[in-house]
Formats: sequence, structure tokens, C-alpha cells
Amino acid sequence: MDIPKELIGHILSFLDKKNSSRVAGVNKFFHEHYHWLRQCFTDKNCQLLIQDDLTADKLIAGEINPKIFYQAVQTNNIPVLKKLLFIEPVRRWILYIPLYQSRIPQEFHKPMVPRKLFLTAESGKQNVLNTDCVKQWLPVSVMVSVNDFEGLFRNRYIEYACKITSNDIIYPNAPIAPSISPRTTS
Amino acid sequence: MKAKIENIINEIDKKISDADESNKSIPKSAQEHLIFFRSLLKDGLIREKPLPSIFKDAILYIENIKVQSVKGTFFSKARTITMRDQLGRSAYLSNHEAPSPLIIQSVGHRIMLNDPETLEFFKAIYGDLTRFYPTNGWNYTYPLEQGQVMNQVIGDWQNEMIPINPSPTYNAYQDFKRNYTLAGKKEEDDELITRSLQGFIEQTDYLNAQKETVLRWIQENGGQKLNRFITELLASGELTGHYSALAEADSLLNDWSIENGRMVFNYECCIYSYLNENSLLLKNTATGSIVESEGEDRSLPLLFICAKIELECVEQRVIPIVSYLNVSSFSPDLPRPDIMENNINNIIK
Repeated sequence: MDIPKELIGHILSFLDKKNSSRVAGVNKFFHEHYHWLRQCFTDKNCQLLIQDDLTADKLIAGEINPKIFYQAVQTNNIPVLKKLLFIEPVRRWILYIPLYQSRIPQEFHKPMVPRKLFLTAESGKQNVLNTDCVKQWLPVSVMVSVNDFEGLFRNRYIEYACKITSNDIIYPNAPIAPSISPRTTS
Repeated sequence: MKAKIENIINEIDKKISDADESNKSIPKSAQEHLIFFRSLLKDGLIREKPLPSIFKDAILYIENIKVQSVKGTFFSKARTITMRDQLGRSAYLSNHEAPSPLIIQSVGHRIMLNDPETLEFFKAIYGDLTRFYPTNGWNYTYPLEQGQVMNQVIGDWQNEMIPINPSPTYNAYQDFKRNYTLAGKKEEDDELITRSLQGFIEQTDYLNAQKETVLRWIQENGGQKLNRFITELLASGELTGHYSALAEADSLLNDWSIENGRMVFNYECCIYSYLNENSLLLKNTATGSIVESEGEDRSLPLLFICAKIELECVEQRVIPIVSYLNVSSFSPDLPRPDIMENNINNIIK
């Protein structure tokens, strides 16, 4: 809903000096916030990390400062990124698995060799050698430890040794991409 | 001398018929060995092979019989070795004469021939052999997708098998020295293995620029690493319906050869028992039902797997392709892969 400009002007005219400067401050803050948000969501390197809804939601809500986040990504500042992205030492992260068959299995269990999980389907395509046989890049939500983050950020994959159960698998009809449009357009 | 062999045959025949009367007096595996042994000798006589050659076959056969050497204890698993190991390395095969064209591998209850037709009596014997197995199991050949068997396990395995080290490694050579063969022939030292491999690859249709890569790939990955997908198939629950780990299994055939201008690996293995998620050992019974077991005795065959892996070469990348995969279950309790797939699809729907 768009509020008419006249109405906003009318409301603002009732404000005293103190409150109008507050409105100006908030306005400036949001202006900057959205500017940095825009930077974050359009930058390729940032996009890698905000594929999953968790991080995107936090950025939009301002729980993660988009300016600090953007600058940390540009300078590969791992310690800062760790602080921003990991409130707890372990968190869920949506990563991608190459699926070689049309049926999605109930679980992935590979006790012998750890399985590579990719940050994005794109990074998977660059690392997997038999991409011709991949039917789809299946998103799975798995626990990633803060210690694994540097490897994930630099190599775009982690070596995951645990079992992936049906709770972790994100089935195609479930929403995976965060819906950001209504809140970011100003 | 021929009369002597006939005597031996009669002796064996008597043992077999005795055994048939009182099944307990002689173990089934020993019975099978005797049947085969008789067949070898008879075959030799009928074809009027020179005597040394008959003996060679017979000794080769004996050397390949697997026996349990150490009884399993609480701390260690029972170990099987071949008679060759038991007799000491001074046995027949060590003196580098060309092995007989007849390659026999005897593993526990199962006796394998690379070319059954070479034995006149094979068919008759085969009847004897099959009577030890329950016949109510199933057999399944995996369908091909663009010339290869493809599912999650095989896709992952293939992806992991493609890369090779920048510097040459010879990881597969230990397996070549143990039980991997080149067109049925086993080589004993590194140099001979390399020379044979080069000789084989020279005859293939790969581009000259790719031949070196194919050689490097086999030197590194052409050994036991190749059959890892069997373990992974079991772990994925594909063959048993739930996570399982290989317990007792034997590779019966590990042979590299050339087919249609490509290097091809023929693989056969027999699985006797597996562990389930709770680490319980599961075995096959004579009736074909699967039971938990802690016994040390060797179990009956449970799954028999036959696979063919072809090496495709794209630019400088060697891609192992599973072009044939057949699984026989000697137990109806195990789910057939296609039926299981259908059931799961129905549940999802």
C-alpha cells in the first residue's frame, strides 16, 4: 500500500524539532540499510552466502548488519563473517548434493568417504566431474560448524561425514528461496 | 599312470557316494571339491591331455581352495587363506611356468571357472553344485541409461573415481600382485604388470594421447578401489532394504581385458553375510531365510554380484562406466531393487 505524499507531509507537520530530526535519522538509516541490502543481494560473492533463507531473513531484519557483511565478504574477512553468521558454534545451512537418480532417496548414508556438499548448485557443477549424469542439484539443510566455515567459503564445499536423513532433505515442492520482494522494495 | 588316475577317480566316486548316504560324514564344501576334482581328472583323461597338464590343473585347483586358517576368537575374525598359502610359497605356481588356461577359483562353497566350457563334465557337475543352493531367490539386471547403470551410489562412486594424482601412483599394483588378473593371467612383479598393461592398452582404440592417461588411471584406481561401489550399494540399503555393512565376502573374478576397443574390468563377488545397523551378523540358511548368527562356520552364499566396468576416455579424463550389473540373491527375504523402488514410489505418491 502506498501512503499518499500529502498525508505523510501532513503528519510530519505535527512533529516538533526533536521528533522530526528522529524521523530524518530513521529515514537516513533505512536509506543506507536498503542501499547495503541491495549491494548484498546483487553481489555475486555475497549471494553465495545468502542462498539460504536464514541468512537472508536476518539481513533484511537488520539482525546482520548488511554494510559490515558486505565489506567482510569483499575483503574475505573470515573472523567477521564467522561472527555475523554463527551466533552459535553450529548452525543449519542449505547446501547442495548432486542427485544422480530421479527418485529422491529417503536418506544419504556414505560411511566410507565423506560426501561433498556444495554451497550452490553452480559451485557443484564446477567441482563435480560427471555433471552429465546429475539429474538435479538437491538442497539439503545440514548442521555446519563454525570451524568448517572457512573451508566452505573458500572451496565452496564441505566434506560432510554424517548421515543425511529425510528431515534434512528439502523436497522440491517445499519453498527454498526466501521471499524478499515485499520487504525490500521501498 | 592312466590306470592310477582312474583309481583315484574311483576312490573319489566312492567318497562322494558315501557322502551322499550320510551327509554328515563329509562337509558339503569338501564334497564339491571332490566333484570338481573328479571332473578335472576325467576331463584330462578324455581329452588325452599329457599327464603333467592334468596334474597341473589338479594342483592349481588344490592351491586355490580356500581354507579357514585361524579360528575366529572374541578378538579376531576367522581368517581364510588359500591352500597355496597353507602349503607354503614353494608350491607349484611359484616356479613361473605359464599357468594353465583353465582358471579355477574355489571359494568356500562356490567354485568358479572363467570358462566353464573347457570342462567336459562341467554341466553335469553344475547340477550337483546348484543343489546346494536354495532356488527361491531372485536375479536382477540393472537397466542401462545411455549405456551405463546409474543411481546415486554409482554416480557418487564414478565422480570420486575420475580424478588421478598429478604424480603417478601405483596403488593398484598390490591388488594385481594379490588376485587381479590381466585376461586371466596374473603377474608377480611391478615391471611385468606395467609391461602387460602397456601391451593391453596399446591394442585399444583410445587416442594415442589418451593411452598414457588410461595406464596411469589403472595403475592408481584399477585395484580394489574399483569395487567400492558394492560396499556403498549395501550401505545405501539398495540390496538389503536397510543400511548394511559387508561382513564376509569374496571377490571371485577381478579381471582386466579388452572389449570393443576399451579396457574393461570384469568383476564377480559373492557376499556371504552382512551386518545390519545394530551390528548384528546376518546369514543365509539352507532354506533361504536370513537369520542372525554368531557362529564361526562359513555361511551359504547370500548375494552374487556380477559387474562389468568399462573405461571411457573423454579428452584427458578417464570415466569408469558400469555397463553391466547383475545381482542374484539366494534368499527371497532380500528385496529386489526394482520392486523396492516401486514400493517406495508408491509410498511417496
